[in-house]
Amino acid sequence: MTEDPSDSPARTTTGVDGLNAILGGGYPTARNALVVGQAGTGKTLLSLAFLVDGCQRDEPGVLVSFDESPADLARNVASLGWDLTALQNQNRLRIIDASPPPEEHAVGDGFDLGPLLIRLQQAIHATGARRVVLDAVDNFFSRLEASETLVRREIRRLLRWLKEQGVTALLSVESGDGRLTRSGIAEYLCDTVIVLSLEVREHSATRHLRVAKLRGGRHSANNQPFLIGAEGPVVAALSSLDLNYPVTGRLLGVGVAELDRMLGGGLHQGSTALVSGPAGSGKSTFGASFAGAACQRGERALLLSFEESPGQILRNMASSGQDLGRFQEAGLLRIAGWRPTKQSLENHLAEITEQVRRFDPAVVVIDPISCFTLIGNRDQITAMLIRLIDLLKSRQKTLLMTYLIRQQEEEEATALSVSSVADVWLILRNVESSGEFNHNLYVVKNRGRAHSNQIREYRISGTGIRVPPVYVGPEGVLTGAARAALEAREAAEQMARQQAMETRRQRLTVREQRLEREIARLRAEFDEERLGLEEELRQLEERERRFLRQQQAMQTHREGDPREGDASS
Amino acid sequence: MTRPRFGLYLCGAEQPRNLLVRKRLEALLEELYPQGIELAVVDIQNDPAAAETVGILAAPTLIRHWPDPELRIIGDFADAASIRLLLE
Repeated sequence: MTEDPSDSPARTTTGVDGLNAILGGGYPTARNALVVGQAGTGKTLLSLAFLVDGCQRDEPGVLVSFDESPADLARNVASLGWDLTALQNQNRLRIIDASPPPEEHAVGDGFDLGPLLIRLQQAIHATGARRVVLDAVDNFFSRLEASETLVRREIRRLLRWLKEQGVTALLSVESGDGRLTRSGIAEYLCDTVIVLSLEVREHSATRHLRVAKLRGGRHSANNQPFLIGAEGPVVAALSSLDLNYPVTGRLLGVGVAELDRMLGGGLHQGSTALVSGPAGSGKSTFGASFAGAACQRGERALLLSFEESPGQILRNMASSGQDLGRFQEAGLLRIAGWRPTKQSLENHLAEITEQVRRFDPAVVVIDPISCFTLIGNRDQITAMLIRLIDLLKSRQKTLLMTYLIRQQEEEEATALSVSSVADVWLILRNVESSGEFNHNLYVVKNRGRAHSNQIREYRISGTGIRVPPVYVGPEGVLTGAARAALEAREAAEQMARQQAMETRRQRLTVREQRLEREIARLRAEFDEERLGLEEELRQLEERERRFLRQQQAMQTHREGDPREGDASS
Repeated sequence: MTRPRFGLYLCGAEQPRNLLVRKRLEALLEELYPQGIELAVVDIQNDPAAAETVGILAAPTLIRHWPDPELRIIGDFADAASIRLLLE
């Protein structure tokens, strides 16, 4: 029993990590939960996961199987590693066979489930059960053609009784025209309701799980990918409510020293890197190198390969100087993969999530992510990646994914879209020149970090990936034999450059002199104009003075004794 | 000659409801099998192991153990006509 202090009441683990996460730890303890879904959605497996989980936690369980016989059940789940027979022998599990007998008829409504309760009580008592599952309980009522009144009455009684026993109970019923869901009584009376669904599209089945009801608890009501994995049901609960990722400043080497330098020290822990390139550019080698570097540090690496088998990968890496086999043997490296077209994107996501959860690696390599263009469009792939990256970031796991570029518009657009969710984008290119085939790489994006913007040559040889010292000329990065040829050309070009400089210097002097002359000319022009203006001003001032003098003289004449004689003189 | 063998499984055999069921059933079986039958009445409350052994989930349940095939009828046997159809 797991208790989450933030949520009351106590929780009982479901046996499915993702579901525990959604429910805040598990099903509410000592309450009834209901699982609703059509045939084939995984109701029985989800119910059994709950009981098997209990057996591992010293919480024995009782199963009432209304549909399958105990023998059939045991056979069906043996492949998941669940040994129901052993659990029964250890008295940790008791199965009550309520599967239909050959000839059974109900006549009228005059019966009740008294005997079932008596048997349940015995089983609970005998095993000390904390968990009870009633699988396909609706099956029983349907086959007896019980009236709705009877179903309501007996379900109500059953659920009340289970609560009184203090066990955490899980009832599974078929959705659709089943009597239980039609009357809605079980949904109403149970504290938790989980709805399973199955969608078949383009030959691939997608299962979903949704928590439709959780009394007294906050939960995500979204459809979550639900998968029947190799070891039981898996819920990929990925829409994390809390996106505050822990940030460590730690840098992880990618296994190529020079590339680490270009990246400013390596990849940040918890970041996502995209390595894109055409066929034959060595994307897988970069991926494996990153995984190998993690193992070298003693950390676990998960390499998900969708195009090559584990054997192929080990062989290829061995030929490029990487002995990944020893890491695999040491349990540090896990190589897994499956056919990309096997299932829907959602299920891929769920399976990747499950691989990550089980192996708990420090680094994850997906090679290549572009294989998903076979089953999803750009938006779907990006959406899936965002959810995956959310999950990995929140757990501080570093992701490197490769992308095969095949000169197709849609794929390039997808690459661009995928790159938008990556923190680091490394582009690999094949360059053909001077009759050679060489590889170039450059870091086109390194979110929030300084990085080299150089285009570098790299070689994949028997000793791994090598990025030789850079030779940068005026026409870009040089590769192979073209380097030598250019060195001679460079000398000539240097002379040309010096000449060009000299020309510029001369031109500058000329311009300077022309400016000086222009200034002198303007000054001369100005001086000339000034002289003229000063002369005009002087003449105007002289005229003004004369005018003032004449005026004064006239005034003096009028103020004196006006004499005839003067006037005439 | 072996007589048909039946088992009637009840929860609380002495409850008035169950006494009525028993009466109804005995009358019906007498009518259907004039040669006589064997009827074992089991109270699951006193003998839970019996319910376990034969796999009883609901009560009342009548099981015809013999002759083959085994037949189970669940209900209170109020609908005599339907029971007759099943047993004939």
